[in-house]
Amino acid sequence: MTAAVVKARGLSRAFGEQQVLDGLDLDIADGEFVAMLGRSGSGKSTLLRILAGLDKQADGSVIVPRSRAVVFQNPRLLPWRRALANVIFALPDAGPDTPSRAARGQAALDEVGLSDKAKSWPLALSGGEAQRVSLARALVREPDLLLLDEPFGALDALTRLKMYRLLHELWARRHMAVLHVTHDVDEAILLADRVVVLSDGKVSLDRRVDLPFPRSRGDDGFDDLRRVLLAELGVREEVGHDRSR
Amino acid sequence: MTAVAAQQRREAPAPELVDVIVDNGRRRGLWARIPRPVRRMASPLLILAAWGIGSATGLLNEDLFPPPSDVAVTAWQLLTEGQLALHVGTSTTRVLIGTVLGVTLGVVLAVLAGLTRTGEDLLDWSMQILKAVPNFALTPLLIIWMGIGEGPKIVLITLGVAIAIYINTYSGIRGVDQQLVEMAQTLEARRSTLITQVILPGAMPNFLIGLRLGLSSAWLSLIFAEMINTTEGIGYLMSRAQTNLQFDVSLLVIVIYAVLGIVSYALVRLLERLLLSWRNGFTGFEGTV
Repeated sequence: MTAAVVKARGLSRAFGEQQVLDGLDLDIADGEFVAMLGRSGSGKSTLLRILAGLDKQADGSVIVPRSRAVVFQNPRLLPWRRALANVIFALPDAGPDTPSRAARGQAALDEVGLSDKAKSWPLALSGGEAQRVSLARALVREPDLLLLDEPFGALDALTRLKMYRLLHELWARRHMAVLHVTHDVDEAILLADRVVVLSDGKVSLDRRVDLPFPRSRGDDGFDDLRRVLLAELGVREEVGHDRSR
Repeated sequence: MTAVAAQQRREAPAPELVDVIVDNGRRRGLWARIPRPVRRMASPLLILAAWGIGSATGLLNEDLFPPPSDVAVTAWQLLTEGQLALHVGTSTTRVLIGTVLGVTLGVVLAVLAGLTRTGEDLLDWSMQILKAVPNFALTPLLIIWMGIGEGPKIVLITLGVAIAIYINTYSGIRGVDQQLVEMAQTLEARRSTLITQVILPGAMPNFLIGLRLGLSSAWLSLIFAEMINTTEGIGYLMSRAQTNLQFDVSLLVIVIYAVLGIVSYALVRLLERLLLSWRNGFTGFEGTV
């Protein structure tokens, strides 16, 4: 196994009386795609904020790559900058031998399929397009760790399917480590090498996803894993899916 | 739907259907077809017309409230004598210098108070106190301290503009979306990038409100500043007209203030159009509500 790029040991974080993270241990290997599931309030977002460097008040030890990027649920684009300017916002010049910032930004937009939207205002983009700009903004920095905080939570189901393919392709091409926080069990199984479930501020389940790519719902083993994960999340009745079977 | 429900549905009166495309069956009115810049002129022209009609019908006493034609003649006289250019020029220069200084001071103070809690602790109360002090009360003191030259006039205008800019820009900075600031932090944006690309553009709508209020305060301060001990400027023109009972000049001065006010307002609107083109805000309903 390759070296760990994220190494969290005994990570704890309390807000007042509430212990959100409680001695959490987590490793993520270089190039590994880890999906993190957990109920609302289980500490997923808190962990992600700590790894992103947005919350420095935690106890315990955690090591992350210097180069990391975050994609939030809300694209968080600067509404007063056009798409390309948003992608290269705060992007340092890499030196004389590398392409210009604009060229790198345009390449990142090409990569997420938005070549012709470079000059668009963020408010004129659809939800899926805005989220792809946000993804391009993360990718252009060539991060060693990509942190995704429910990035597809606000998108419609059809756009979400397209985004799964896009994200998988980008990861397969670049092979950076990914921590993908989500509510969606299917999304986790479709995309990840490994799924971890967070409950009561600790990792309560850590499972490799040994399904071959390309994956789709209904593959052998998919439903079994889904049942295990749902059970771990405390959801036992599969109301919506029983009828169709 | 169950059979019973379907039965009930059938017995209920049919739902009322409406056409939701606005222009269907209704032609656009005359008002809607006039270009908007022309439409804007309507209400000032109406006031002018009322004044002219009032004078022509004798409703307004010609000695106390001269007709627009007299005021126009006076304006022409003053213009050809070069007096109008002198006084308006002097006043405009004072307002411009005071506004530039005031905007700079206001923005610097707002950034200091907006970005750091220390800045807020040190500055905010003093600025709020200054805001509560009327310009008017400061005028005699400033003249005593600084003499009767340009100094007190510029300071008075600068103070008014700086306060209006500070109050609005500061609240604009504090209103910047925390999510965007966090985003910039995760991208390890430099402090200068954060200020120039996230915080100041985010505060821009409020800054422009401050500029609008600041400019009107500048013209008001100018009146106070130019009423005392001066021989140039619109305020001087006004106080001299009052002393000499030149009502046509008094009215002309009011018209000048009105024109300068509307020009300042138009300039700020233009700035808003240029700087806030990314916004898609509410632009009002067409026609009457």
